Amino acid sequence: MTKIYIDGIGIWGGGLFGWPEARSVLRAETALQSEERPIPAAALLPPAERRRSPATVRLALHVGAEACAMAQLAAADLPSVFTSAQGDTEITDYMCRELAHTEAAISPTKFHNSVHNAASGYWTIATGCRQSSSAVSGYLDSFICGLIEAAAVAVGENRPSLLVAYDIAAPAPLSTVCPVTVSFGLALVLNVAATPQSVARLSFGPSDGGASPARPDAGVAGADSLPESLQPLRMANPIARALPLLQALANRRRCRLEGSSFAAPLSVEVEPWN
Amino acid sequence: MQSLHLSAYTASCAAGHGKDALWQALQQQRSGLRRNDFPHCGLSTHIGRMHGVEDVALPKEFAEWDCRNNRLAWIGLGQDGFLDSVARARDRHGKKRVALVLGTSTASIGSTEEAYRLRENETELPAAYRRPVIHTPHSLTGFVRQYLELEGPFLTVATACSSSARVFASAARLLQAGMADAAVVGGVDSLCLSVLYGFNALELMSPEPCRPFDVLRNGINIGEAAGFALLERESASTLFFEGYGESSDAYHMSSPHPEGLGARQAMEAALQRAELSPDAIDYVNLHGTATRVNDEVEGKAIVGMFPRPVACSSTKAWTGHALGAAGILEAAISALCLERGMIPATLNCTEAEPLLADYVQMENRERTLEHVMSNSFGFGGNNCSLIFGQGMRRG
Repeated sequence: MTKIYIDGIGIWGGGLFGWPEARSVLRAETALQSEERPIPAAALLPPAERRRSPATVRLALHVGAEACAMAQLAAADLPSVFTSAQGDTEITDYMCRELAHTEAAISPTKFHNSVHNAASGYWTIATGCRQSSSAVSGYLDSFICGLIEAAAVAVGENRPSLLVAYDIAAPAPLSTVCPVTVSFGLALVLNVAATPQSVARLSFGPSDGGASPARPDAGVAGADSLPESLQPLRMANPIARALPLLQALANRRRCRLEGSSFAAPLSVEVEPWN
Repeated sequence: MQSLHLSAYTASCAAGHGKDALWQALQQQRSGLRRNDFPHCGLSTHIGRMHGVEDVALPKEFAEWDCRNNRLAWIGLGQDGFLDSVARARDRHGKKRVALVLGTSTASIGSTEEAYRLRENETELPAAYRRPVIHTPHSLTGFVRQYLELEGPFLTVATACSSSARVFASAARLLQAGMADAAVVGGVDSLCLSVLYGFNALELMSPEPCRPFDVLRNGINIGEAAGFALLERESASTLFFEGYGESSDAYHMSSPHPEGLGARQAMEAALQRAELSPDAIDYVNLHGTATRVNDEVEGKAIVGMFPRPVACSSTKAWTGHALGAAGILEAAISALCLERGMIPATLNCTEAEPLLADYVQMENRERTLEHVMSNSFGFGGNNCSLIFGQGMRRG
């Protein structure tokens, strides 16, 4: 059974802006903020690129940097996995609008930013990282699929890896077919051995089939204990299906993650560490 | 790494559907490229468009998944007895222990484009397109998972033109981490306006049939393809997946590192994992997109990695650049060349880039091969190099 440690957490969106703040909401110590904030500028990018960088890139870079800082690891040393259910729907909307005209004229920059690995590419450029960096999707299961991939990367490379998960609120008319109404990003630094920074241990094993496709909201077991104020967020962004995991981390409790929409091949046991 | 058996594989593209058709096209130097006739696209270029896609009708139970990309997947999975190979793997390992990792860059975005073109207002898409599963990059893997009745770990890899090369690395790691006992890997990319107009905006498309590594090369031809492979720890197959290397350029979103550092790093890592020296490689299937810069940079990386010339070619003038499906298509071509003993020419290359004059193959050559490398490089500086071999298992 593969065992992996969580050494760093970055979080932004849905009223949870940074891990210290999110932890306190997840412990029911402070109330969830109701105000919306614009996604922060990508501090890692040079000023010229910072201004015009896409929303997904800004969100991914922001949470990735927070997780690396908490883990006290240099981003340049970490192989990474970027996961998203929908990719950048603002750019998809732009592309499809332009392409609906005859004689379409596409911005070359928007085109190269439309690839699913744009956030991965900008991250490696911004941090000078030459390690392997992947971009993946698992639709509603994007978080857990990304987690499995990032854990396998850590094992395969025998070094810490970075998982960055994000989805942004989809503009109309894409919003009618994309299950994302609130922007939310989450990053985890995974380690192959425990360190003083480790906050939890994950054990990957075969699933006993606990999650059922008939329950499309069954992202993570133990979801019932999530504070009432966070229930809407869990349904507003596929990445927020990780909230019960975050709640377990905040409260130093055990929990169990399962896949949801396409049945569950693996389960992940989470236990507090240090 | 422990090499994995390539128990089964198949590929379909403009040059042919399935291994035998593709092999014939290679042997006869018959290109699948044609003048651009893709609907709603007036660009002057050549494309690698698969035949028969419009005639595919998915069975009713898969109606929700219908789109050009998944029709390509349907065609691809139907070749070379691949469905039977997967059925045997399901029986042998159990459907929960067979992973599914597929690469794509376009996924079904062509359907989202159609939906926008046909929309009547700004608040909704036409009724026929109100199917959320075809508006996500995961649409391919979602469909294939249901079609193949696999319940193991699954993943869509979408790293532009390296997508379906990386799936081999992901699968090897899932097996190494004990999360699966076998893996179906592959990739599908389909022609759509996003990529045709997008590469046109970057001024990277050739109006003529592409000429990889030719001194007069002037850009790419976009293609489409579907390919799949089955990887297992044990099987009767004497073909092996022996190593992978991945790297990031950390340089630019759409231009490669000028010295090819990322490409070199990926090739080095692949050789290291396969425990092979550069001299052991008999043939390199190059990424070779036929743009001025890409071929020049890959050439520098090749000369640096292989100071003693190795036989190289790009097969993109047969197939077009299948983008997210290029990795699996060229992995399949590499496997075919291993199995049937040939180094393919670089079709349409009449005068090779001087730096690679001793490397680039101008004619098809029959030869027994032991180890073959296949390169795939994508936007974002995303590089992947794979090594396949045949014979007795080593190590």
